Amino acid sequence: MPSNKSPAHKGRATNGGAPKAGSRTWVAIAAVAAGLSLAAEFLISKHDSFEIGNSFAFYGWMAALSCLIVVAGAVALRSLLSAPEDLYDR
Amino acid sequence: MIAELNPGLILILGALLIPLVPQIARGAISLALPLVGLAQLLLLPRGEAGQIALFGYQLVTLRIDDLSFVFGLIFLIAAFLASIYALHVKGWVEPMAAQMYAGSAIGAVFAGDLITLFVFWEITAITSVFLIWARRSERSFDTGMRYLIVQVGSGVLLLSGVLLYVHQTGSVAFDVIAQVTTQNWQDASAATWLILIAFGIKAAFPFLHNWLQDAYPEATPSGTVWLSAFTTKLAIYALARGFPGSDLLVPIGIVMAIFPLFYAAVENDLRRVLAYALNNQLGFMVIGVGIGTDLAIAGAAAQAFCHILYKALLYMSVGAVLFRVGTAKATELGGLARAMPWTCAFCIIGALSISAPLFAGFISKSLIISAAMKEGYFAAWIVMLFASAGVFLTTGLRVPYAAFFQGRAPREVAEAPNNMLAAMGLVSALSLGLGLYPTALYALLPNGVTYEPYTLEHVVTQMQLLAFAALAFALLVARGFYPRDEARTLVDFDWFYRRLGYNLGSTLLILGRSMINTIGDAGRAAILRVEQNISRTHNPDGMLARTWSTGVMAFLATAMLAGYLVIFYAPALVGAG
Repeated sequence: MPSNKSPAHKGRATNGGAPKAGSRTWVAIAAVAAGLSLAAEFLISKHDSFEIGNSFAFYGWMAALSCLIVVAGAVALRSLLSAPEDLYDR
Repeated sequence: MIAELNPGLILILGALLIPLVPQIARGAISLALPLVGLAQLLLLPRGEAGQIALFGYQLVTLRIDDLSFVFGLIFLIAAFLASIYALHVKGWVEPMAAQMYAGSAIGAVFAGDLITLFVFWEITAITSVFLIWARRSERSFDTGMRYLIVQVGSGVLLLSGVLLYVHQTGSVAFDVIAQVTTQNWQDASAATWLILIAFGIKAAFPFLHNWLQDAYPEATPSGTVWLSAFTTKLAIYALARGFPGSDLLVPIGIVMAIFPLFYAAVENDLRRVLAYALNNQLGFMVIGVGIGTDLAIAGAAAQAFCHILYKALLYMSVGAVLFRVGTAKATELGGLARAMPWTCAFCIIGALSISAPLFAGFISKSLIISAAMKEGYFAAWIVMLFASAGVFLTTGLRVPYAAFFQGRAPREVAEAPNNMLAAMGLVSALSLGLGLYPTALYALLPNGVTYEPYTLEHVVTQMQLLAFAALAFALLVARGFYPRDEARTLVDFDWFYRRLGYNLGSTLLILGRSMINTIGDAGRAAILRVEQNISRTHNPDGMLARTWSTGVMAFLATAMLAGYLVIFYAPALVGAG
């Protein structure tokens, strides 16, 4: 089984750093999608049982906020709980 | 059709043929068994059958109703799809274990009593560990042992709970065991707790979850696809059957939906990322069972059905990468979209299937979220929205990005084998089919629920959720704020027993040894004498362990009774004297 072979490639450039052309394309695509979904809000009338769900662009800002919380929480966890991958093999 | 035969037994018994036939026939048997099981299920009438009397209790080895049917059906479909994906596997151990594992999960779903459930419950544990050991490394062996201890432990708790439950109620029927609510949980019996914890272990409740993230990344590429489908969803079925409306499950599900996301965001091993995301999706189902209305239970069943498909698809695509590249670690992957375009496309479909309109997850998750809204569970509702965005970020976007887009394209990497592509293609088609035609799934759900997922409001709000999550991800990556991939892991709760517990045990051992050394030769000789005496009486030929003849036993029993009479009456006789 090939799973125990050495990886075909290692040490690729990690993400982060200055924005690259590819990254800008993804941002542009996502921004257009987000803009369209915002515009579409004018076509609907919302009927959520919870009042906050009926506020403008609730699902949009809720998603963005959730992602920021997840990433911020992950960064905090990493600073507290990061360990080598072979922690239990030592 | 063989009347009264549990479809799971077809897979279990049929798997016994696999070691006996040549390699080429093993694949054919593996494909045929789920199909025969499926035919059996579709031909069997609803109701109870296969009744066996045991120790005065009536066991029901086959019960087909709406709830068991939908779980049994998806288990059989998953077994067929996973068999296609695993067609390249050489040898007989993994295919045989996989079929028996799937068969036992199916057998458990159709069990009408707790004893039959327990038997199949344990078989799932014993057979599935071979899917981890099939990796044939020291690490996978150790992981398999830990997995086995936890899974068998769940079975032991289940058996203990069942024995207590049967003693208290006089019934072995597997129906509603209890409704454990936030108000009455203090009054729940020991039997209830034992059974709930046994189910909770397999459902990966918080603090009982680490076996999942430990084991799934260590199995073979195809082994993880099998594992992802059955154990945890069997537990969801068991919860839906035994504890519907136990609103104590709502906060448990909320925690499950939240905490794995933080781990999934930065874990390096993409199969571990998927394991955390799986844990998060189980949270939705546990919330659904906890809410317990018709819509919520139907939602939990629908979510289990669709989740098996899209999680299998994600595990298949990452498994194909592991198979071809030799690793599933984000730090060692990237740019595979050109080399593995079909696998990349299927991975993206798996990602979209989590919750995008037109795909499976969209039509199932909405049922639980709507049920939470309808019943006024604000915390559950807001958490499920948070978790929907979070899981799309950490799994739907990060996994395809890390494997297929970021970094440079690798050299000399071939597309996945045809059988893997065929399996991924079929799962993708099923996900899309369910997304386009949700009534096909809704018609199978328990409680006769009707639901319309494709309202303009629902589609727009869901698109908003996904588009803004995608925008957040793209901006975070572009600005360098998304945590870099690192060849490190995050310590989870298993540290307490794998490191702290291990260190404490080692310390106690050293202390014990030093105590023995301190007491000197005389002390050691005394301990040895005690040990020898115990050994003399308790070894197989020892007085207390060997088999005595009936006559001797009768004499000893008579002597003991006589002694008892003397002790009982002697004071009275002395008093009379």
